[in-house]
Amino acid sequence: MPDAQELESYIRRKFAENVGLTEAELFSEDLTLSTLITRSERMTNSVDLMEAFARTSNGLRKDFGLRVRLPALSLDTPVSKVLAVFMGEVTNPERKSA
Amino acid sequence: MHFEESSLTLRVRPNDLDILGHVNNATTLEYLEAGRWAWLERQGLTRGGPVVAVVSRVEVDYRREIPPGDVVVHTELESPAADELEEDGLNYRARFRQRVFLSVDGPLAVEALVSVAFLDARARSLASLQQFLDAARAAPVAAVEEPRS
Repeated sequence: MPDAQELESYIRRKFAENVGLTEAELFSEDLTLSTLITRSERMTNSVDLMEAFARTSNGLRKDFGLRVRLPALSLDTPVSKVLAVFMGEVTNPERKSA
Repeated sequence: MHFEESSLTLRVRPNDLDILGHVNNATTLEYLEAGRWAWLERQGLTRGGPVVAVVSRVEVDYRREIPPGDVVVHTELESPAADELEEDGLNYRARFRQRVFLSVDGPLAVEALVSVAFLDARARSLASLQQFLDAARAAPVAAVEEPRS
């Protein structure tokens, strides 16, 4: 099982891939979700955003057997908060069975 | 998870026609919507559950004018593909490929890609395709839209 640092690295990389921005663009400015949608050429609305997060969640399940539930996220949520939600889910022992 | 393609035959109504005597372009969107309801029925899914599907994008190619008579609407789920859709996975978007033909063996008149998202009707927040399917399988059978004749 990967440690927390490896999981965070995986999640950051998958977020960036799925939204179509670099990790630096995504996390250095701690973009809000609304800004992220505006900046990404792949994103039109919050449906696209949730689909990108879902792909990350599906990847965690397939690659590591970890299940992540996605809460409703308002568009003023910073991406660091989303990362924290994912990390909270994957490091919670009760949530590890996929 | 596998879903069957559906086919729905509709009769063009006189009021569907515009001044040129063919089906108005916006009316075609109603045919496509009826086709998607038929697709749900084909899968044994019912409406009336707490999670609903909403259209988020429509791309339509009008290839041929639709005169009075019957049209046949074919609807298939294009995305997620069968290997991308799992009961315990997460998908927030589905895309249908729909085709409208002039009669059963007639030529293609309209081709469309329709994307839908899913909403928790009470919370007004986004829901997943899996939540929609769970709700549509559990929902009581509501009044079914009859094909027009």
